[in-house]
Amino acid sequence: MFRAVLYTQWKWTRPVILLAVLVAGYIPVNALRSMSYKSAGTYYIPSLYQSITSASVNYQLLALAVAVVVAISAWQADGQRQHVYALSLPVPRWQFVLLRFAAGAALLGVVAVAVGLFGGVAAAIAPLPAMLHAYPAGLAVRFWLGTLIPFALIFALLASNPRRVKLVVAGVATIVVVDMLLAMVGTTDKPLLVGWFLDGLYAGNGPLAAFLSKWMLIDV
Amino acid sequence: MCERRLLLAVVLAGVFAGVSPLAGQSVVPAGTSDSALAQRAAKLRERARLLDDSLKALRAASADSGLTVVVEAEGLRVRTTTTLRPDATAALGVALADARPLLGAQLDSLSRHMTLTLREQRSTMRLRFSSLIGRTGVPTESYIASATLDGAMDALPLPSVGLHYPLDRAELAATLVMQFERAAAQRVPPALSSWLNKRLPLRAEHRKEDAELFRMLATSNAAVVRRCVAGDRDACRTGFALDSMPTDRVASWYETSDLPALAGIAGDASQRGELYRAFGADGQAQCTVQRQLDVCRRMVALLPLEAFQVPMPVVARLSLARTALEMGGPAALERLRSSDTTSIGAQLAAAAGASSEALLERWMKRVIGARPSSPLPNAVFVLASLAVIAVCLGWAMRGQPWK
Repeated sequence: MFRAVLYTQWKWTRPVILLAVLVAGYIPVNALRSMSYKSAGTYYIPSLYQSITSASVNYQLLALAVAVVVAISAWQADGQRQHVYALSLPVPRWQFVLLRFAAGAALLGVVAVAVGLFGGVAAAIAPLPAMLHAYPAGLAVRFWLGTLIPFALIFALLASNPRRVKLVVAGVATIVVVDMLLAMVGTTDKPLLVGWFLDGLYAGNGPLAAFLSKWMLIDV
Repeated sequence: MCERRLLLAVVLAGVFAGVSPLAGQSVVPAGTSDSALAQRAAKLRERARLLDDSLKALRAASADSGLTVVVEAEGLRVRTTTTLRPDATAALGVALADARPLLGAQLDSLSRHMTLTLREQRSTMRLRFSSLIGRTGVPTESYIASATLDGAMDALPLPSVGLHYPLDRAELAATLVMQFERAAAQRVPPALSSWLNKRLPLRAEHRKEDAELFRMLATSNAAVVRRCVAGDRDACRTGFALDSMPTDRVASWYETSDLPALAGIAGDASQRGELYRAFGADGQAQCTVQRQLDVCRRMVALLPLEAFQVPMPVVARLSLARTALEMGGPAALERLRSSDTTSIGAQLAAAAGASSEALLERWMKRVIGARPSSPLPNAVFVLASLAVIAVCLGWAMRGQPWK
């Protein structure tokens, strides 16, 4: 059953996954190509470090983009057919959802493996200065976890009751509007709830905190 | 029209000449002697000075209005307002407790010579959020918008520090410690004070800061700094300029590959201007962008010796000095003050009560030991992520999208 679900989702997302793998290969090459490959001595460490820091943002954007597309693809066909096919399958709903999620996570894992593999190859070809080291495996794990979180959020939103989704979206929109109105009439200095919401997502151990830290292929 | 303008200009010139201090000359009766004129000018100057002083006094009195409270702890007095008193009292206690272990008896002496003032900064304008044009200013009743901490050490002013209001007591305590650091730096030999950027580090450093310091040093512009954190103790000595400044600073501190960056950042504004005049934008780009090392060498050769400062960043120098103070204990500052040596290394060694080699070894062990580990996500982050994923999955499994 899993193989069938995986194959179906692979068919739906194949172009995006392949493109993501290509981008995963391009990012480290782009980050390292401005450096001289003649010898380690000709590297200019601060600019190399800056280049790798910029590449970390590209990895994050790639992770976010591929997670969103894979999550939407997982439910798009079912949504168009009113979930009739999914309901006719001889498996409980929860098991089917689990299979879909596992298939999506596996596909994201393919991109994460590509990130680690291409990063490792690029770092091996480029003669790194003594103080810097490549961490392709660490980057791949971080990338995979980083993709799974937005994937899970969107996946859950699309798999739940549309009425409940509408309620959640309407509730959030109302809170945002009220918060901004309070700030505009001077009751509060600035929109507080939006700030708290974003802090909750990104600060400390929030679900999207991974996107604020650097995803460094090469570090000290 | 032109004649009218000319007439207006003449009239205005006459009016302004009438109020000008020089105007007195035009109404001086004929036959007045030079000495009388000089006396009159001196009187006018004296009067202007008195008016200026009065204005300054009035401004100071206005700024000091409301400073009716004096918070005192261990001999240190902080003038402040009634509103800020609780924060000042709490933060002063914390700051003194932080500074005492390193300053020892010197803290009492510093306290006697220091004066601190925590002022309210009031405003009658409040910024209001607007989704269309960002923020707009709205007139309002006077309220405390922020606070400032001013200080002086033996009547020499310390830089003023602005603080957000409502005050964060931890931030205020840290600011007080920073003022202690600046005051204490006035008591160390001038060369060392300058080396430390006029601060004697009293604040405890955390392991996370050491890790960031390691990262900064390992990716530094200067080869000697990178060699230092790679474990080369001689490189650390040179990079800190502990013994003396090298004669050929470029050769001692930098490698050939560092020259493009060095040529791009070394020197002050006027020295950079000289470089620009000599090489032009394209010439400079040949070094900094195209990395033509012979152009870089010529650019660097054009800069004077002073353009190349001690390559170890100030943060690292403060960290080394802090290590010396920790090793030396409460008497470290006293030993540092009484040290009659000229080299930075010997002064810090005197403070540490150990050899400069032992001091360097301890600092290197600490910083190198704080090297950041692999960028693999930590366990807390992994668990938090998995928890979020599990919640989302549970939500999805209970969903009935066909309804």
